[in-house]
Amino acid sequence: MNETLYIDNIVVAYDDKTIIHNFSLQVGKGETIAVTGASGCGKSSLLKAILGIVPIKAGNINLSGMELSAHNIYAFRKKTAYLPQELTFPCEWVHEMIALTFGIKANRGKENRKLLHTYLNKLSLDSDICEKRLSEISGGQRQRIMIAVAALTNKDFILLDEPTSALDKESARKVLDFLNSLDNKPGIIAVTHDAEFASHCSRVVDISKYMYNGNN
Amino acid sequence: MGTIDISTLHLLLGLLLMAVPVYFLWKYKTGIVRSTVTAVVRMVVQMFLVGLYLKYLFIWDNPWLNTAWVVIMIYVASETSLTRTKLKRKMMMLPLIIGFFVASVTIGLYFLGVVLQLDNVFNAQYFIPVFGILMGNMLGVNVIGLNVFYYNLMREKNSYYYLLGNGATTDEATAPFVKQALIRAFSPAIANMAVMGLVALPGTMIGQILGGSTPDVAIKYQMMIIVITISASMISLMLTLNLSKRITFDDMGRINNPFK
Repeated sequence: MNETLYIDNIVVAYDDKTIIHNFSLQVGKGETIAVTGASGCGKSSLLKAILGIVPIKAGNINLSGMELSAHNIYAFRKKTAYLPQELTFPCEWVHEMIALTFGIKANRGKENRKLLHTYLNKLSLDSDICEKRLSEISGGQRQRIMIAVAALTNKDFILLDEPTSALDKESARKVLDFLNSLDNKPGIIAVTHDAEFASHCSRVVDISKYMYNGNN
Repeated sequence: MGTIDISTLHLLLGLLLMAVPVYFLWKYKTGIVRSTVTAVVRMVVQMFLVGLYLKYLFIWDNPWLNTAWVVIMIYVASETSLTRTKLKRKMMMLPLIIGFFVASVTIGLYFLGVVLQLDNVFNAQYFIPVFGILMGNMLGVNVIGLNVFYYNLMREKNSYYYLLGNGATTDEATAPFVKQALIRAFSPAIANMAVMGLVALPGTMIGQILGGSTPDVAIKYQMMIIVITISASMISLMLTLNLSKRITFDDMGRINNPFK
């Protein structure tokens, strides 16, 4: 199976407002793509469009031979992990937050717990952090925990929205090294403002030129 | 042992007790004196009207009329739920009506037919009060449950989409919000059940004792009333939530704003 994400000439729009116009991209498994561009140009909307959360008015998105459509949307999303920029959880504890994602993957158990702790350590986090309240951890810690969880879900593609926005340079570099070191490395699309992070990705795509201005 | 009637004069004397709460609400400038007095007047008028039509429902004791009364109650409960939750009529009206109808009919008839073993389940003396109490409780639970579910879902939309983007189905991604709604909607009833008879004597039991029943009969009815109201409320809320989810989420799992 050719594990590639094809984005072909898509037009992304909220109601009548077009955000992204005629955008195409091809991402293979194992690649890390940084999506950059000015604020408000539609970077986050692109990730949501890939997941079918924001509608596309034209064009196609195809993942490993499966076209994004209502018919197979849930099978399509089984192949993706997604981490939005802002995330509030309907729970109190870190382990509950992790269990929410594990719950839908149904892959709990000793092995995964062990792997989670290994991943947390690689991201400079103590595994005891799982026993803390969400209110007790920082935004940066939360971001790294969720990156570890995204990696643990073992999906073909990971979509990250500003994965290093709450991290210092060193931690941001660690996140990238961690993602690059994953066995069976997924394809990664990371929306970022972090030029340093972007410079270490396989490719950088500036989405600003696909921003709809009424003429294109 | 019958119930002592209350004359109009003595009823007025009893209503005078409302002067105490009204005084303190006025003294501390709460701004709700007018609405309190209006509420008292509305209660008196509405209760007299209820008394009047219930009197005739009991005299006629017609199954069709009793059923029609329940149908009207279901419609009024659905309308009230919409008003109090500020949810959109076109999305919620049908799920609410179906939820109220299925829950009240299944639980109400089970109680009247299986538990009480009535020959005629439409007997007004039992049918009207049982369906009335079911409807009142289902209304309260539905308002809280639907409000908590949809308010939290809209407020924490990102976490819903996070779960969806990680492979969850709509049902899986909304499960944390259903959990919150159930906790908020049922905690008061469960807490009340746990202290029943210790902290307070419940309404049905007091009503029955005042009406002439012996305490051992009254407690059995009280227990049954608690059980049927909680069961009916759960069926009603779960049905309404699940049916409304088919309308508030599109085929890609995106949320359509359910609020007006």
